[in-house]
Amino acid sequence: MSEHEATTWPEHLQPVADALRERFPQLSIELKPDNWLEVKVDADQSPEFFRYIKEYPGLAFDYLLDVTAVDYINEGKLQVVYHLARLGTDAKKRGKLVVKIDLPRDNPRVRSVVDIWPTANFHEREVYDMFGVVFEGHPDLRRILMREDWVGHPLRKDYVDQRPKRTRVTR
Amino acid sequence: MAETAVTSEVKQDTTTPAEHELFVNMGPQHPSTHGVLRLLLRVDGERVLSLKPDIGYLHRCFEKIAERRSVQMVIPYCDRTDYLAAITSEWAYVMAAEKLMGVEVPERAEYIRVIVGEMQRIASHLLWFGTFALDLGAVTAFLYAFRERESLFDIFQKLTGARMLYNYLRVGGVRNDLYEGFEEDILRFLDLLEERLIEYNKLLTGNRIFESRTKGVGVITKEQAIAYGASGPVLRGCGVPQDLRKTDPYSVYDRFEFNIPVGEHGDVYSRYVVRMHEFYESIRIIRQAIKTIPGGPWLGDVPRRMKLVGDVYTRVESPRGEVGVYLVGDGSDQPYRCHYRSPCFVHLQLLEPMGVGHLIADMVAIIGSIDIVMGEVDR
Repeated sequence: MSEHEATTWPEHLQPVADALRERFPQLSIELKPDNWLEVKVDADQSPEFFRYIKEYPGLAFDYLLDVTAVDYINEGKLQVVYHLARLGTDAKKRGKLVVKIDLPRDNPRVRSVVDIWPTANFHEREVYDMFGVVFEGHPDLRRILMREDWVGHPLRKDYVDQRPKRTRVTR
Repeated sequence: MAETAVTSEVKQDTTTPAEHELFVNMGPQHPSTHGVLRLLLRVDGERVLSLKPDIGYLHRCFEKIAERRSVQMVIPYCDRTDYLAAITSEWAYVMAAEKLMGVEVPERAEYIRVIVGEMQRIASHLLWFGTFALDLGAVTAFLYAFRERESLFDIFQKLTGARMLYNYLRVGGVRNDLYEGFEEDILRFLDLLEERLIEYNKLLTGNRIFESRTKGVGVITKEQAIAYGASGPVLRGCGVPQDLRKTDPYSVYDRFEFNIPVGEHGDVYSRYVVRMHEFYESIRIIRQAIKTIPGGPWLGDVPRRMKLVGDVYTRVESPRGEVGVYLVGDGSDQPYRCHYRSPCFVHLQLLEPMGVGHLIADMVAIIGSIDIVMGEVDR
């Protein structure tokens, strides 16, 4: 843990890091460019973690910007990435948080956050559509951008286009 | 196709539709949806009981394509996501690439970006003003707005060579410098626009018919807007002073003086007022930037072999809200993953809380007020 303590945090982010470490002492917190805090969480810990950062008064990350995923095929994992922020008129109370959850590539499952931030609904549907990540407890997990009867999840790195090849016309 | 989809929705709906209830397909080819948005409405007479947006008709695999192109080759594809605000889409992407490569952007380039970015905001808001008024039946405003938009596009064409999809920003700066006489052109346009804005306001802002169509329609609370991740004028219309140019400044926005217009009631009219004020703020920013723009190069030193390493999320305030690009690099010159966070994609979820209980005709006003661009929603 000593390496974390050596990090000099910007003043307004120190309470955030403290509050996170108070509840989750094993958490690795990193400072990224533009004052983003990056946190890696286990999938089974995630429901507790998200509830905590939303509801604990010292954290209160009320604004979910984005949910997406990355397929790290060489490391054999799918990573779901959440971007969160706090809104407020006081500049010192602002903070930005990246949460990353590693999932196995076969049968990736993680708890949905729609009940915490309703905006996650479409984002999670998109991640399900493109990567096949199943969000447990999602009210309406269907494909959103691709057709309903589409086979496969296009943004996975090992995705193969199933459509018949078109012959190229050359002149 | 439409029929089977309707029945599947009926099955999902927990409440069985009563005798007098009806399912109505609005779209995908409905003129007021600004593209190919399909709304599935459950109505009682004219009143909307519930609605579900159905999207994906314009999906062009932007994120997949970006994984197969080198860094600079993705920029024109960014234009085509939000085609009414191409500069801001490019900007978010280019900023992400610069951060991953550690490229410094010359000061002059940042100023040029601010100027074209604000010009873009004006152009986009002009189109919104015209189509929004047209949706509500005011045809004249549409013609007025397009007249001004065309003369702004003339300047864009002189500067970038294109009228809508510019491909102007580059990793490390912009493609070419401002042309000789740009200053006079843009200042003349701004003066003209200020005069015309008075006309616009006379046309709509105090209009009794317009006000009764928009006031108290599509109301959302501050808490709802935040919970649903709203951004841009939709969030500011609820009274939250959130504008990335001020709250999380990027580029050189912290050097200019401008206000964040905020609405009061979170209804269609508040969002209208916020956007009308933003015209003036953009004009202010462009005038300041023109006055203080430094000399120097407009394209920084960019390594010939580009390498993207690490991951970064950049956010830009587009005319519609927060555009974010999540870019991951694996050491090659192609993005390993490029995710585009679209504000309208998020705002579509707000249609249900906004629209339920209103008439079908009000849905048209509500859709117009969130300024939707389907190219950006479906990517």
